Amino acid sequence: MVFGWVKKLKKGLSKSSSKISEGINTIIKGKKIDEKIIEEFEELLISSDLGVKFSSEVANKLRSKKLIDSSTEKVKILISEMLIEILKPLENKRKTISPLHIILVVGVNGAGKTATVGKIANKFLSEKKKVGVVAADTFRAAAKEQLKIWADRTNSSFFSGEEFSDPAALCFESIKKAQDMGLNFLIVDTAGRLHNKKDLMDELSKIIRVIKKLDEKFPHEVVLVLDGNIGQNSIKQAEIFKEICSINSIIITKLDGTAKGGVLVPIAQQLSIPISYIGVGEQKEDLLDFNADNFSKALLDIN
Amino acid sequence: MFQSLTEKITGIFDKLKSKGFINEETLDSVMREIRVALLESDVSISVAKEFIEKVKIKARGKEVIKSVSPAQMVIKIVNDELTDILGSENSEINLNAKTPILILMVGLQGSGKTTSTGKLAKWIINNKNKKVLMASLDIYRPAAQEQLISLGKANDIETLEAQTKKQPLEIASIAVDKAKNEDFDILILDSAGRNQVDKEMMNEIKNISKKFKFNETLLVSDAMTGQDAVNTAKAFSEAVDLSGIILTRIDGDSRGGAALSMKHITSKPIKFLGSGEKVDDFESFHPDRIANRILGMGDVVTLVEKAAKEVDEKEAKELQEKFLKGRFTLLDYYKQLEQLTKMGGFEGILKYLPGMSGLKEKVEKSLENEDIFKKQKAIITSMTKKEKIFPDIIKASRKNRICKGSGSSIQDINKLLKQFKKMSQMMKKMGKDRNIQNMMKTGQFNNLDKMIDTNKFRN
Ligand SMILES: Nc1nc2c(ncn2[C@@H]2O[C@H](COP(=O)(O)OP(=O)(O)OP(=O)(O)O)[C@@H](O)[C@H]2O)c(=O)[nH]1
Ligand SMILES: Nc1nc2c(ncn2[C@@H]2O[C@H](COP(=O)(O)OP(=O)(O)OP(=O)(O)O)[C@@H](O)[C@H]2O)c(=O)[nH]1
Ligand SMILES: [Mg+2]
Ligand SMILES: [Mg+2]
Repeated sequence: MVFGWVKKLKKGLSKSSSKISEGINTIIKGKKIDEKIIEEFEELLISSDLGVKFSSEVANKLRSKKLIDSSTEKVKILISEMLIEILKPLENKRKTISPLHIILVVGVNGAGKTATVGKIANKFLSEKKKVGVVAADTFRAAAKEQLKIWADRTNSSFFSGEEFSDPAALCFESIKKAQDMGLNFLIVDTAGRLHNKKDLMDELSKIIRVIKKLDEKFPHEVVLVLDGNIGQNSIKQAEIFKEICSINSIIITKLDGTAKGGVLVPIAQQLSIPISYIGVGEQKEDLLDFNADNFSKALLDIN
Repeated sequence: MFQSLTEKITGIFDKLKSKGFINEETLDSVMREIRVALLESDVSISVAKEFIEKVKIKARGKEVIKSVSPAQMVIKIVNDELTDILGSENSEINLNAKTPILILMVGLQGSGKTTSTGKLAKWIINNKNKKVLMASLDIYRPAAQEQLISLGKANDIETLEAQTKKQPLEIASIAVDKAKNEDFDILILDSAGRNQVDKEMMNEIKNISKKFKFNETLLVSDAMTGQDAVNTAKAFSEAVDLSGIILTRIDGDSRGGAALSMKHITSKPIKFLGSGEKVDDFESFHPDRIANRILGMGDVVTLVEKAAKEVDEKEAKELQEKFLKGRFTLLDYYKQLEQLTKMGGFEGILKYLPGMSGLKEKVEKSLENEDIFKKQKAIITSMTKKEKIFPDIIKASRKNRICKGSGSSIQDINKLLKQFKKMSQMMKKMGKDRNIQNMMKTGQFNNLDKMIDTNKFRN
C-alpha cells in the first residue's frame, strides 16, 4: 500500500527526477558546504515551491550542522525529517461521521473539483456507503453533464438544477432529499471561483449560510481543492478560502505530472490546514490518502 | 505576503541608503534579493538567474551605484528587461493564409483550453469577421465535447457535433473535411488535457500535430502556474510545433512569473490573455502589462482603457483629468457608481492602481456589496447640486434632510462622506505622481477597439 503510493507519485516524479534530489547531487554532493553553496541550494528549494521560510530553515540547518562529508543521503534525511515534522500533524483522519455527512468541495477554476468529487464518491462507495453528489456548478458549460457521468461511474445519486439557477437553493433542496433517502454522504461540487472575486466568494458564503438553516452543523466538511501545478498563489487561495468558508482540509491534485506539490509546505507552515488526499490521475481510483512520510520521500526521491 | 517586487527593491535600497553608500558588493546582495523575489513570483530558477545577469550588466553600465535614486533606476531596468523578454510588441495570430486555417489548442489538464477555444473563436468572428468552426478532440474528460458544443450554442459559433467511438485523429479528419467542404475560413481544434509524463497522450498529440499542417498551435497555460511551468513548456514545445501561448486566469491575483519562464523556454510569443470565465474575457497580449504585474506596479493603462470603454471616450477623458487634478465631485462619483458595477466594482478598479493594496482592503470592507452602492446612490440623489460639488457644507441639518430623503441613517451618510474624502485625497496624490501622469498620457487611451472588459459580475 505504502509502496504503491510512493510508486504512483514517483511515476511522475522520476521522469524528471526530483529537482531537489538533482540539486543535492549537483550543488552539494562531494563539495565543502560553504556559504555560496548553501545560498544556491536555498534558492533551489524556493524554486521547488517550498517557500522562503522553510528554505532558509534548511539553509540554517546546513550551516549549523557543518556537514563535512556532504553525502547526499545525509542531506536528504535531514530535509526529510524537517518536512515530516511540519507535515505529519496535518495528516487527516475523518473523525466523526454524521448520519448524513455533507462535504462541500470548493476551489479556483479548473483545479480538479468535479473529478475529485467523483473520486471521493468512489472511496465511500468502496466502503459500501450510500453516496449522493450535487451539481452546484450551475454556471459553467456542461458542468452538470460532467458530474452526471461521475455519478454514474460511482453509482451515486445525482442532484441537479436548471442552468444558471441559484446554487444555494439547489443545495438546500438536495440535502432535504438526501435526508429522506437515507444517504450516508452528500458531496457538493461547486463552481470554480477565483478567491479574489468578491461576488463569487459571496455566492459561496451564501451557500453555506443557506445550508446552515437546515442544521448549524452543515456542511460537516469544506474541502479546498488545489491544483498541484499552481505556484505561490496556492497559499493565497488557501488563506482566503479558509477565511471565507473555514475549510477543514485540502486536497492537492495532478501530482501524477511533474509538479510535486512543494507548496503544501509553506501552506502547512502558515495556515496549518490538514491535508486529506492527493489526486494522482483522472480515473476514479486516483485519489490517495495524504501521508507525510511518503510525500517527503517522493519529493526527495528517497526509495 | 505578496509584497510587490517594486516595494521590495525600494525597501532594499532604503535600507542601503541609510548606510550612506552603495558599492559593488551591496549591489550583488540587492540582486540576490531580487532573484529570490522573482522566484517567489513563480519565475523559474534558470530564467531568474539569466535575467539577473542581464540586469546586473545594465545596472553597471547605467551606474546605478552613483545615481541619485538607485532604486528607481533598478526598477526601471528590471521593468524594461521584463518587457523585453516577454516580447517587445504584441503579436497576433496570422490569418492570412490558405483556408481553412487550422488552429490547435494544447495544454495541461484544466488550463482553460476549451474555454479559450470558444473565446478565440468569438474573438476572430468579432474582430476579423471570418467563418469559424470549432471541434473537440477530447474523448476522455467526461462531457468534454458537450462543453464545447454548449459554448458554441450559447455564442453562435459553429461546432462539430459530438463524436462517439472515434479516436481523436479521426475526429480531427472529420472536422478538417467539414471545414473544407463547408467553406469555413478557420477551424479551431480543442484537445484533451495531458501532462508530459503520459507518453501515450503526448504521442497522440504529436501524431495529430504531424498529420495536419497547423497554422497555429497554441499552448494554453494558467497564469498562476508555479515552477513546473518550465517542464510543461519544454515538453509541449518538443512534442508539437508551438506558435504561441495563451495565458489564462490573469483575472486572478498571481504575480504571473510563469509567463516569463514559458516565454523564455519556448521563445514563442504570448498571443492572448484570458481574463475571466466569460467568452468575452479575452484580450490580445501587451507585454508591458504583465511586466508591470510581476513588478507589482499596477496597471493604470488597463484601468483607463476599461474606464474608456464603459464610460465613453469623452467622459473618460474628463475622468482622467479629474483623476489627475483631484477635481472629483460627488456628481462624478454618482456617475461612477453607476458604471462601477460594470467595471467589476471598486476592487476591480483598485486592482489596477499601483500601491493601493492596503487601501483596497479597507475599501472592500466598507463597500460590502451592491446594496451599499444602491444606498450611496440614494443618498447622493437626495443632495442638492451644491452639496454634491462641495460636500464639506453638509452639516447636521442638511444631513437630517438627506437622511429623510434617501431613507438612510446618519452613519451611512457619514460613511459615504468620509470614504469620498479619502478617495479624493488618494486621487490627488496620484495626480501628483509623475509616473502615473505619464502612464495616463501615453496609455492607448483612444484605442477603443482594443478595450478589454474584465472581471464583470458573472451573473
Ligand atoms: N492528471 C490529473 N488530472 C486531473 C486530476 N484531477 C483532475 N484532473 C483533470 O483536470 C481537469 C479539470 O478537472 P475538473 O474536475 O473539471 O476541475 P474543476 O475544478 O471541477 O473545474 P471547474 O469546475 O471548471 O472550475 C480535468 O481534465 C480532470 O480530468 C489529477 O489528479 N491528475
Ligand atoms: N477566471 C478565469 N477562469 C477561466 C479562464 N479561462 C478558463 N477558465 C475556467 O477554468 C475552468 C477550466 O477551463 P476549461 O476550458 O474547461 O479547461 P480545459 O483546459 O479545457 O480543461 P481539460 O479539458 O479538462 O484539460 C473553467 O471553470 C473555466 O471557466 C480565465 O481566463 N479566467
Ligand atoms: Mg467542476
Ligand atoms: Mg477541455
